[in-house]
Amino acid sequence: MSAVVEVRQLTKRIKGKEIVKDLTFDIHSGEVLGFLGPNGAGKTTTMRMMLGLMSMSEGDCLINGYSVKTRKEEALQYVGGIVENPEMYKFLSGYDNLMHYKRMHPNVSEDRLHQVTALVGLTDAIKRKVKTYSLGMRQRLGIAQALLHNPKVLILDEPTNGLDPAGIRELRDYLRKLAKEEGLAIFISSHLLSEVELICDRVLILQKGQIIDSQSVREPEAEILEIAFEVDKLEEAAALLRSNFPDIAVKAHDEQLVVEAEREAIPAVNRRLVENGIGVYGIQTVRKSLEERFLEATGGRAE
Amino acid sequence: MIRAWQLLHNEMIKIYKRKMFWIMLIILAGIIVLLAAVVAKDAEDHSNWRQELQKEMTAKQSNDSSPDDSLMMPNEDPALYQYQLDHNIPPLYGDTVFGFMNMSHDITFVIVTVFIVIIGGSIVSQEYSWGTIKLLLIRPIHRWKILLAKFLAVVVTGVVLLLIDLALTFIISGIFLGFDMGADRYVYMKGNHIHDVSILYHFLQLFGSALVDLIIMGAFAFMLSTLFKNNALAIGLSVFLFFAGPVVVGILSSLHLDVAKYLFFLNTDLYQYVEGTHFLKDTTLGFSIAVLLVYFILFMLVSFYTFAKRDVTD
Repeated sequence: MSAVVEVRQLTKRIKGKEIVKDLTFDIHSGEVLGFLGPNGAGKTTTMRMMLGLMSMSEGDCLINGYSVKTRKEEALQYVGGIVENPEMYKFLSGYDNLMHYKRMHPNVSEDRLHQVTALVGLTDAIKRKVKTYSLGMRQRLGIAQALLHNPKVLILDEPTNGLDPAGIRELRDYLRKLAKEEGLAIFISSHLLSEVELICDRVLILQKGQIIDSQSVREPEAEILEIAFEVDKLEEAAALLRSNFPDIAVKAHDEQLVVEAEREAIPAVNRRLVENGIGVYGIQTVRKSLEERFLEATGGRAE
Repeated sequence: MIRAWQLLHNEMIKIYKRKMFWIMLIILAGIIVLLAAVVAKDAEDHSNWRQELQKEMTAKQSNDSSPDDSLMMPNEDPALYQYQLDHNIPPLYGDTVFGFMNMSHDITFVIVTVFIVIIGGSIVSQEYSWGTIKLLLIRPIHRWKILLAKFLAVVVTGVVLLLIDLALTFIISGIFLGFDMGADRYVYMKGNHIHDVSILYHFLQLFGSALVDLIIMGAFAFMLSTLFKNNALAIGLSVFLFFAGPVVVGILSSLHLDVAKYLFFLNTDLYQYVEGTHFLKDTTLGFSIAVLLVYFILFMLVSFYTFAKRDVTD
């Protein structure tokens, strides 16, 4: 996987206050990267800097190798975006709106315009004025304008705002399909954890302008898990493990022995306990859900 | 430069596909119809214009004050009448098509200028109030190009509105006055000299002067629109200054303050130099053009600098 977007030391200061501090991350093609954080964490500011809507105080964002700062006319050719609600020209038809954006990109054909219209299912309504559209239809027109110029990256700021559950589901399925089938890199922000959990491969958690955690949503095998052993002689077992496995963190917790280790370590730990005459009544891996991690990361101020 | 053309195309669509533009045209046509109807009601037969002119000239020469029912401007010189009689050029009567066009332009040009102030004053700020500024500025195009397209769209719309104004005035007065064209020469006194130009040339000068006025007022409103991000404020302030400007100039010059001549309001009407009717005697055409240029460059610098630097935060 290659990085289509490289964000380097991105910083935004407004009146001496650092809204976004020293962000560095990559987005790869085919990946859906979530951007999670409480309101006011700096998600929108980060995305607006990446889209050229706000200036960068320090650092840069490279898209397909072009700097948004110095080579904006090249860099933004590869980006499609929705910033909050996609506001369209209501007095124009959907078609005229798309034509408007088509004229602002090099090499977008009329065919492509019809193609994206069909893709978002607006073919029948495209000649109607946007003021007659429902919110869901406007959202789909917003996606159509973002996809019009065959971008390599989609940057979507809270795209599900104002959508009903069916609309959210539709959007989610659609975005996953785009990432998988067309290899798009998708960067999507939300303050709602549940939403991001279902769409994304990976999540950045932002708080007070800093990335405080970067996690894979689909847990890879090699990750450190919390494993709870139900044993009879708690203190003895803890001491035994501490002396035998110096690399593994062990703590006694709620009548359980909680061990932080990789999955592969479970049989070895178990064998050592049993061989030393400690009764093991149960072994359980405590997977942390993204929610717990999110709450943990943001100090419980998720909403 | 295909992209530049495309950007202008976009901005033009956003002007003429709105109801506002068509309402403006209807208002303009309505006012012209009203004026033409009033003039047509009192239309007279001017086949004996020579006698009328002769009578007026002797009246003027006898007591040096024009009769109350004078058809000409009261300060016209009798020598001008003599010239018209000698060269068989009838006066530009208001109830002929050309005369009507010459008379009504004072009113209709002001209306067109107000329309341009409204369009120029909203062309940037409306993108903010519609929320469309975000999707407009995430395109792979430098901001100054987008802003330039917007300003050019204001200028093009100004030219189009002026042409429509001339065409409507011609057609509507033609219908009301039976296409009686009237004089095809325009004569006026400047200093002690009589000037005799074709009516087309006269209209061209009026048109050019109006266009300069439009561009400066449009640029001013455009700057406010870029600065304030607020439609109502930008339009309101521009229209207010448009009407308050002459008042301010009047006050300043009555106080004998020399600064008045450096205000752009006083310099926007370049036609005043054609007939030598300019308000302050020590200004010249060159002076006015220089003042206007300085203001124009200032308005543009402020607009482009603000627009290029501003963070889009809402």
